[in-house]
Amino acid sequence: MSSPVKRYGFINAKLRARIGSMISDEKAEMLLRSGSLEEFLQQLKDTPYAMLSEEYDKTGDIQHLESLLFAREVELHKEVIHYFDGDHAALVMALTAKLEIENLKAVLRLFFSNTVKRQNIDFRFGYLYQGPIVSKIDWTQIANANNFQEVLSALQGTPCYETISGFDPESFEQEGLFYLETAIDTCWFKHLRQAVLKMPKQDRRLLTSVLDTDADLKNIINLVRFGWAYRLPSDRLRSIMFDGGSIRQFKEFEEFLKAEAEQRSPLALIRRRFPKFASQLTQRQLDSTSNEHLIFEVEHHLGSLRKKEYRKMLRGDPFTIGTVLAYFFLCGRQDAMIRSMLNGLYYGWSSEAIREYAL
Amino acid sequence: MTTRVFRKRLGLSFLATAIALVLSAFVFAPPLFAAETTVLEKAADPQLKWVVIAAAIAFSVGAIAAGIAISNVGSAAMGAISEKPEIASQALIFIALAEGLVVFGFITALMILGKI
Repeated sequence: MSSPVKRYGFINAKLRARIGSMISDEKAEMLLRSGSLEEFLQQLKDTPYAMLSEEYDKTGDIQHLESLLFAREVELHKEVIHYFDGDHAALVMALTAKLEIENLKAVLRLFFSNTVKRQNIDFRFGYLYQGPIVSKIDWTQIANANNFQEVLSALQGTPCYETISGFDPESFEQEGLFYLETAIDTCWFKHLRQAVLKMPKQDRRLLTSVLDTDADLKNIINLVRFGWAYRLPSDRLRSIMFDGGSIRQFKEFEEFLKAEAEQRSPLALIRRRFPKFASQLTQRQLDSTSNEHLIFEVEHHLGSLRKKEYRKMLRGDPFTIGTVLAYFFLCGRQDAMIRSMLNGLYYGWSSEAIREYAL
Repeated sequence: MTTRVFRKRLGLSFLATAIALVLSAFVFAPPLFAAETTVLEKAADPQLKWVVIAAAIAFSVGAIAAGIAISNVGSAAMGAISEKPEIASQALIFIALAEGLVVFGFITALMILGKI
């Protein structure tokens, strides 16, 4: 397996066919118009999510459906790994590790609830993915650990062990798991970038560009959410930034961090990186907009930019890793849409709120 | 597709065309084959072996190229069909296009040999 045509011909054709079978915009619109959870699940029957409808008929448990969605995503990733070998398989595994760290964060929250908050976690643990994803992690040992040392011993040999072991468990009681979770996220991103370096030139160029854009989007969102809205101290803010991207090189970034927390404005940074979007924000007068609404708008806009990037990738060279990236992204996004609709209809959100979160 | 890859593939196409033209020159050079000759004279003709080699190359390169093309197109087609069986007939068209290469090679070889 050497030439890109040989390497990607089969898998990319397969994934493109799957992308073509995804829920169309028209179908998504029909799903959004569902008046009840039952109607929504009924409409899912002729989509790749038909199993949700069957499982709901059997169990009537919405959290079970969410865990099924996650397990489905893990299986999709694992299947793609099998079609590659060498550095390409390592890269897809590094991408799949994102799901592993999401699961790890959920299990660590259970450990936190169990040991710090002294809550019963038995029923919650049943909804988590318990099989191996990328590394061999004993999820039960983490959830039932009596102390942080036991958590660490379950994570020995995993890529983020070093990062996690650097944390003082006593800080969890005061600060919660926020810094640990963001450290795990940045650690994953760092490992992904290292896996990219081993790829052939054309794939490496594409992946670097995608990850740089991703880093910019994540950093902007973090700066707006945690720097501007929640006024995190500068050193803490710096520690949750992702590697790569152009934003960290801008003088506006340093100015943002140096400014007093109350004086910070994300506009200058957004204007530098996304001038069009910044002009829209100015027109709407930042001050009169609520924090949560602005954060939502920034995330929504940057999310749609990311979607455009992946769509563009699908129109490009068919024999690159781009198709795999786009497939993972579109699958994840579609799962998130279904998850939002399920929760919205189950918990009785307004149709506008469901639409906002789902799209 | 990047400009570099495109240029590389364009270069390969020109190279293939040039080789085809050179081979045709062997065949269609009028002075060599215009005269009426007997079978024995033909067999004794030292140029004949080149004509036969040219025909063999035309056919074998076409066959090898078709094999490579079908392996690539076929595997992609199988990947797509496994997900969407309804596109099987469309996928077969692309495999047939690749298969066409060997037919071109075969016809060219026949034309070469027909000139003897």
